[in-house]
Amino acid sequence: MSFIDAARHRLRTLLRPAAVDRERDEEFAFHQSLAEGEHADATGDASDARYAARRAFGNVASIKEDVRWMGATRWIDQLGQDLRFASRTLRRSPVFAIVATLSIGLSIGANAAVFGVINALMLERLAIRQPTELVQIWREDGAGGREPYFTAAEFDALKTAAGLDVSFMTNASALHAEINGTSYSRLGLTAVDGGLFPMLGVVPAAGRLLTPDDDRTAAPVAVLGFASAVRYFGSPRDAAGQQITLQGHTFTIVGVLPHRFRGLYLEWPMTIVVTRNTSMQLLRNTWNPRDSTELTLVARLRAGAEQQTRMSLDGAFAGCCAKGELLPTDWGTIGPFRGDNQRLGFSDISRGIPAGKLDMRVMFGRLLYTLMAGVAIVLLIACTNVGNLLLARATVRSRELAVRMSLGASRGRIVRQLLAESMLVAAVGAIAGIVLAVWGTAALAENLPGILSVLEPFVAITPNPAVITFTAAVAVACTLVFGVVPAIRATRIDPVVDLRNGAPSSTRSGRLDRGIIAFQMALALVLVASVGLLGATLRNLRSGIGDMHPDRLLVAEVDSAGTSIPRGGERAAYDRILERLRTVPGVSSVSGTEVMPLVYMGFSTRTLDIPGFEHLNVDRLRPEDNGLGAGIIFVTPGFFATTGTGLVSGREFTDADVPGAPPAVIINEAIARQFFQGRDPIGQHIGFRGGGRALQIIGVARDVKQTDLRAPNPRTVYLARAQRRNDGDRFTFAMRTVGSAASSAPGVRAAIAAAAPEVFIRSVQPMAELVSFSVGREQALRAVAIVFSTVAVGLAAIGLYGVMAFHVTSRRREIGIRMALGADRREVVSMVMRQSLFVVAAGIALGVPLALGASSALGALLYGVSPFTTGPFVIAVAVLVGTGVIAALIPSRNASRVDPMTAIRAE
Amino acid sequence: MATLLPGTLEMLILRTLTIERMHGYAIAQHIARVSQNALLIEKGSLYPALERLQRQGWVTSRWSESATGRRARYYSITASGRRALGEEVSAFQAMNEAVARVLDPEPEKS
Repeated sequence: MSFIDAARHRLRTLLRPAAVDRERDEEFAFHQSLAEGEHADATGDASDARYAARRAFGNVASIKEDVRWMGATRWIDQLGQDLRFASRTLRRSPVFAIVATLSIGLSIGANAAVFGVINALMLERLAIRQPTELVQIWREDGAGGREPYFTAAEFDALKTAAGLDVSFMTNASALHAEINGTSYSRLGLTAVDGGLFPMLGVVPAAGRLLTPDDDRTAAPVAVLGFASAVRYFGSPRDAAGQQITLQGHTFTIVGVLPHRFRGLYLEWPMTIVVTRNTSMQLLRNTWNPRDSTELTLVARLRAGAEQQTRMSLDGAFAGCCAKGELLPTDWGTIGPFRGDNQRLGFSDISRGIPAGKLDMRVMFGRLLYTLMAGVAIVLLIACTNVGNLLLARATVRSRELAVRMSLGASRGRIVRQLLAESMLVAAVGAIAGIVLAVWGTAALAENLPGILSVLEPFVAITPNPAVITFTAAVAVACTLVFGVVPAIRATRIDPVVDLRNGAPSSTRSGRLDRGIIAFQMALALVLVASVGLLGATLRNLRSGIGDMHPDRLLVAEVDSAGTSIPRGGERAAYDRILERLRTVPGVSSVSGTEVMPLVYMGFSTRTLDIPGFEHLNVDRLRPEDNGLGAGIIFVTPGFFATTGTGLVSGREFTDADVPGAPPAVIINEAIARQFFQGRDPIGQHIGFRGGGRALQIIGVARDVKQTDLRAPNPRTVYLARAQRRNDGDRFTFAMRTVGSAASSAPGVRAAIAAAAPEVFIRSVQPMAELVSFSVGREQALRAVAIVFSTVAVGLAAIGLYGVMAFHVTSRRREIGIRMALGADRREVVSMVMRQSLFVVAAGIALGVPLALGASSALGALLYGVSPFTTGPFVIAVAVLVGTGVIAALIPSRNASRVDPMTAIRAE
Repeated sequence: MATLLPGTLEMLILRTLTIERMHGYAIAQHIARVSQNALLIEKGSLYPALERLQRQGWVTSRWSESATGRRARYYSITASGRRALGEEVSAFQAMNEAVARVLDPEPEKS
């Protein structure tokens, strides 16, 4: 079996190179000795013989090299040749090379960037030792309910059983802090068990991390997160050893967390970390772990000992806590805290602890995958465009290829050469793409708008192995997509025919060309339609705050917690500020409120007591009815006029609504609709359960979303601030401005500082910014979709133009004959237009189903638009038809200018 | 010394090996002797050619003792090598005749 011999021979060369080499030496030595012998026989001189034989043999090393590499070099050589040849060919048509490389490079870059973000946010595991061993511990009630929180006593009991393999973290805060000369109020902290960092196996960026010893001695030491170290001190190295003040105690920064480990939650990076006992003893008034149930427990289930660790934890929990023995007494009534048969559950947190409703993966996952689909479509369009260019080149080069084939180049070899060209374009594009992606995302990360700014740590991508592998795979896929078909088609030539005719017949590549353009049109339709859908979504979301003219509404939040203002003194301070703000230039009216819509701050909710609904069993209401609860907002007179919230009926609060006057209330439409169906609520009395019905309804306010623009309109009651005993810590001023709200912000800051210097200004921002923050995802996505669809439509238009122009040129003779036979210009123009619109129509026919699919995939990102809303589709179709007409304008005019005589004579 | 056309050396080696199995030196010697020193095979061509033939499975090799008692690699032709040789030889002869006709054309009858 000779092929087996051959295979064995090749394999041996490959696998046992040393042995093969030795044998080769022996064989050559044998050959040489025989040659020497012969020479000596002839001349009788042995030393001369050796010299002559060696000379005759030639360079032994180079022969060996020839023999050894014969197999491998053939294709490596050819590949090198092909690539050199390709780069020469590309250099000869620089416009094609630049256009192709640039379009592929940009779109590969966009893909690399989006994938990089997805990888960092969605795929990457925590930067700790063996992240897959890490689990979060849950408290389960055996009936499907579970809670992630435990008490410190329960943790201590579990720790006795599981030792160093179980640990916890929890959130804490310092009311005031001083870091590097700057004061902060309500600074978020993380309190951890001293064993957490050793268990995770995190290597510090500087200094050391917290240890069980720090915990035991309640040492006044803290660890900073990497970003915090940079923000406060410039670098981790500079931060280590520094001192900071937390609630009057001096803490030493002993070390800094590494850049890649930001904490166990993606959403809440560790900024300042202290141990549990430190937090308990020095920051006591903010957090009391003794009876807090807010410890998040994590454990390491070591490979090979998972079962054992689990069982010892289970056993310990059953012994100490299964009946809620170690829970604070007032906690025994809720969900999983209630059962008598509680047990532990474990969940994989190798990618971090999920943050429920605020989970960035939930908030941005769909957005990112939608973006991924978008950039993939753009890449596909770019690929088809380059493919089309290659096809055109193949047509132009058919003569050259025919010559080469007739000179004996095999078809496979020529296909390989053409593919080498595509490969070169894709490879250069991929490298440029990665560079662009790294550079672009770094710039983007610092300028993320609104809510997207929380993505900052994930947006700046690094060229890590995952990203590079992905990009390389994309580049290869690109080569295949845009290279193979043109290469095969280009070589499907009959040298004899093509050499004789000079130019190929026009019909050959026409149908494929037009198919590709139609496909591009279909993809462009998907993108244009999604711009429309996202635009409608944005309009719907923005209308959620009513008619506020948010760019002329300035919102200032202040806080007096932890300041020198005594409890009960807040009102006087806020009144001073209100007075002062009225004098700020550019501010036309001022009002005060506890909270403005979209300022993410809780406000109190109480159960309504409304005539006719006394006996409604709150527990029986559907959850989405939110019981009979309503949010309560205290406002000053003029609030509705100033903010533009507006009233449907009745009046707003005036300076007459003071203590002693009848308590007044303004309800919103949601309450009026639900509880006063058709009746006039004005003058009715309502109240809160258990408090009597002392509040007289004086007005009905328009519905305004409070925290979530996508939620149904919340029930809201407005009360007069003057009729409340005092204000809370936090207060908000809303100001109508004459010019842009942003331009009045500095004056407002100064006025607040002058009226009440001790009050902490949390923020001063135009309402428009709060709105943009809320709709940041949709806004960003629409902006990207606009860019993508412009590119897509533009590319498709250029492609269509090219095809039509080619079509007209290659049919000059036919057009000339038609015109000679009496066709007038209009008919010629309409013939070309028809051709163009036929391609567009095919694209639309293909694109509409695609776009419907895409919009139902967008689903959760849309709001108030059904994926089947026709408006955006009609617009998209109109855009494409317009594109088709424009792309055909010049070719059809050229067609109409064909001079029959010249055209016919020309061939 | 004549320059060999590509592929011809392989054909000569295969033909030589149909006589008996030989080591490389013997192959070169045989070709030189039979061609009356018109074809002197460079070792730099011989061994790469043998390697190519082995990779195609037309030739196999085995180490055994030579007449002088030293170990030598003996090459022998395989069945597929013989088939290939047949095809090559007829192609070569057809080519030869064609070349001969070009070089020494018979007068065309018109």
